[in-house]
Amino acid sequence: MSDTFAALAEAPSRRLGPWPYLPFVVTILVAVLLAALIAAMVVEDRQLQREALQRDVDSTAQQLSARLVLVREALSVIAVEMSTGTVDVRRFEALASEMIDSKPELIALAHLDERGGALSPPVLNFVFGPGWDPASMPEVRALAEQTAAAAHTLFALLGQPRDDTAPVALLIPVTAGDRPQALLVALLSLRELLRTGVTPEMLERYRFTLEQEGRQLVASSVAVPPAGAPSYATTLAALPRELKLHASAFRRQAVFPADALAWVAGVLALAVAAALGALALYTTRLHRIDRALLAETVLRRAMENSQATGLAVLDRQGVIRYVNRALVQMTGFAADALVGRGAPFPFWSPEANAANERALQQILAGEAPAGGIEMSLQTAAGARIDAHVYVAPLVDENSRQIGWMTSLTDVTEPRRIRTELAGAHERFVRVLESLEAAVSVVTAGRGEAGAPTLLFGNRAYAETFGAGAAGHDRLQQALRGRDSGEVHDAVTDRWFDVRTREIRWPARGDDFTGDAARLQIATDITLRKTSEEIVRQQQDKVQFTARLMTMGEMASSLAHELNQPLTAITNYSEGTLARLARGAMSPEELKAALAKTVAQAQRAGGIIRRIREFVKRSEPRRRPTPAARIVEDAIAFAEIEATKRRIAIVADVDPRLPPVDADPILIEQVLLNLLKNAIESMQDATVPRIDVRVRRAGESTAEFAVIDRGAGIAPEHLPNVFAPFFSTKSDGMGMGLNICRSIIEFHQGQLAVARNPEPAGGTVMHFTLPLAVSEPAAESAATTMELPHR
Amino acid sequence: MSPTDRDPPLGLVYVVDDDEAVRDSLQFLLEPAYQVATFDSAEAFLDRYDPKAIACLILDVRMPGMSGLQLQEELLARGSHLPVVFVTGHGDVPMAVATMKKGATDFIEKPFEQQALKALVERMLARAREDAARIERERINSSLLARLTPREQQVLERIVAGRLNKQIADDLGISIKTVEAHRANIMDKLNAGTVADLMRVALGTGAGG
Repeated sequence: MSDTFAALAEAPSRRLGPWPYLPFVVTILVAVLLAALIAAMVVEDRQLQREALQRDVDSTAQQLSARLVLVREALSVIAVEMSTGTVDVRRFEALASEMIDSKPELIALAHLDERGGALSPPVLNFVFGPGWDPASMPEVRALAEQTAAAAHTLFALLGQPRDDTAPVALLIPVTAGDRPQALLVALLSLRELLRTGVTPEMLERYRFTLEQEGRQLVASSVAVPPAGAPSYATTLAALPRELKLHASAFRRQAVFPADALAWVAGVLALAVAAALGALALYTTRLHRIDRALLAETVLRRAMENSQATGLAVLDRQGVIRYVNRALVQMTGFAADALVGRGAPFPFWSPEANAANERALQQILAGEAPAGGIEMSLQTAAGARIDAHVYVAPLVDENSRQIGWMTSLTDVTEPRRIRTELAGAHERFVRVLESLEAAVSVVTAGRGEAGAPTLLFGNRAYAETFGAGAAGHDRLQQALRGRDSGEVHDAVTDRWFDVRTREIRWPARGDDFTGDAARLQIATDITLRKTSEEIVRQQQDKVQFTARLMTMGEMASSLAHELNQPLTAITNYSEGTLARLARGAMSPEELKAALAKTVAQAQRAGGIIRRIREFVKRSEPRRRPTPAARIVEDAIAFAEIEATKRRIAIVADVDPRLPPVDADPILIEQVLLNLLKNAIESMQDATVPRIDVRVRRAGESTAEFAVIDRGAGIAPEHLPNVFAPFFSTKSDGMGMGLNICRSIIEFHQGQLAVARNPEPAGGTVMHFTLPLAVSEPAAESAATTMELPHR
Repeated sequence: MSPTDRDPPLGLVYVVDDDEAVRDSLQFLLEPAYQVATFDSAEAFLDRYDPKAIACLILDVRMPGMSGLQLQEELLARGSHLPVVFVTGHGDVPMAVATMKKGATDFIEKPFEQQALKALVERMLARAREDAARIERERINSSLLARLTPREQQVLERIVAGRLNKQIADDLGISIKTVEAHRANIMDKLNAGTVADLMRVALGTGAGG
């Protein structure tokens, strides 16, 4: 049991046993050695065969030679006897017969003279048939003469053989005294010599042939050995050297023992190779299994180490026998600090010891619930962990339970996330409910599905529009197909900034596609609208006040200007009265005076009308107005001042210019302001002229420019000229240009300042105004705010 | 166009105003009684006015170019004693005070009341006539005074200062007799019968009837 636990902790060895291919190598080595051995044996066997063949042929050659020598010796004995002269014809016949009887190879014996003539009748062996009388054979007679002269024994092959007898002549000189008187001639058959001189065993083994210079004379058997059979040739000592005894073996001698050995060895080698091969296969399989096992172990260990679940193996006594890396990481305790420890474990929270002890007892008793147990743990650093513990019995290979596998999952984070999710949802709902904007969702597809249904409406929606989709619907219709906009709801009499969007509304929690619905967020902007209106009204007031101020600043000039016609009127009237009183006035004079009076009264009326129009308090209302008229009116005012200073104001308005889309009073105010500034800057001007130029500046824009030759604006002041309360004048309010700019911007135009590049210097103020597109369209597009009056 | 049977004009009135209607109506108002000459600017007036004429000037304060004040200064610089009536608009009191200090005779606000204007013009013309007489008398006085010796002038200064003969004698370190002699010479040269006559001539004031 403890071995199992020990093995658990042990890391698998990465080394395997001996090299798995060694058996193959050994097998190949053995096979090679055996092959070499067999080859050597075969070569050795061949050598032995060849030697046996030589031995047999040599001994046969000796036997044959011995037989021939025996014949020669026997004949020599006869020759010696005959040389003594004691041998007569009868004796010779007797001796010869005896010899022929004992020597089957003898064909004939004859006693010839030195010329080859028969000295006595030849003795013939009848086996060979007739015709073998040496004396009648010219070849023999030639040999006889030759031998007689040489006095040497001579063996000679006879040519021209009639059959396969292969006769050989043996000529032995019979010496009487010093010189041979006669010759003893024997004819021998080589065929018979082979037939009788070779032992039957030899004949059985070999085929012997006698060959003269390659020509076969006789053969021992008709049967011919197979080609390539071992053969051997030698000479016969008694016979001429050109005659050779040739033997070839019928079958391979002593084949069996050597081959059998080789076969046995081969078979054995194959068996060994097979055995080794099987071993190698086995080793390879073993190796593969080993590797698979290692891989699996490593994988399992990696899996075990990579999973976030802490594992602890407890034995049946509740002692920790193994922990995985996750548990070490989770708790912060080293594996060594945990293994071998019993309860209370170091990673138990001290304050939860009792509860954890109960849980452990439950586990050891096998009563741990299938859903796991909650335990409160702590890390080495002291941080609390909420762990969910699952328990499974641990069984060894014999199916005996040896302990418990407990898996501990850190649920601190999931629990926190769940809590936060719930909180987030709560907050989201609370935010939606506390929104000032009315958020609502209704079913889409209005029309075919009848009235839309309210799917969701927050508190603000309910408070504003009540239950039901009516409010949503009203705003949607007021949008007229736009996605967003500012609309007025007549029922609640409020302004809303409405944004709408098509969404999918999940019918249930798990329905992620949902039905088509429309989300609408309506923000109550009534207050903003009201304040915007107030701001606008205030702006109007400011502009109005500015006009009044302008008039106030010009009051002295205006009074003077008004005084002029009034003075003239008074003078004319008084003058007329005085003349009438004296009765010294003709009707023509009276008419002329009255006409002048009327003209001056009209002059005064014109001034007053202009002032009244200028300071008239009215809603800003843009309408198509000829630029020339605005310029004229502004110059009429400005000239009052300008003429006093002898400054000329020259208007230059493009006659082809269409009307501008503007409020004439406001633009006149701007122009008058700019002109006043220009006049004031031209106290000491060398070129006392102001140009008012109006030109088309684009497709739908007119540009007004007021060009003076005054002191100009200091570069450091340029950025500030439009700022409120900025003034270079000691008595200036600093509102003039600021108001001018707001007026121009109200007209979607731009007011800008530049230095006059002319040599005289000065300032160019220019602003743009939109041109009226066309009379009726511009009239309807007048930028007046339509506000509900509450 | 004055009727031929009318009295000759009582005086010459210059009118300088940049406003044509004002000029024309003023002329219309004053013409039967006075001779009126109108100018549309100070410069035009300076070019063409008669410094010797007995006249008055009705002058607009506010004018382009040379203003009424500048014209007044220019006239003073030229030694002219032309009486000036400044015509002011409303609220030009400080300017009016300034012009008065510089010797303007009077000022009048627009629009004019005929009686007031006529009275003013009358007064101005009277002053002009007075001025003319005074200037004539002064011219005579100064020619008389020029006939005195330096010692006689010293004595005359002291007589005018109201000192007695004895005091004059002490001041100048001469005898009373000599003073008396000088005095007799002075009276004789200045054609004066009494000390009062002497005083008038010496101080150059008024034409004694």
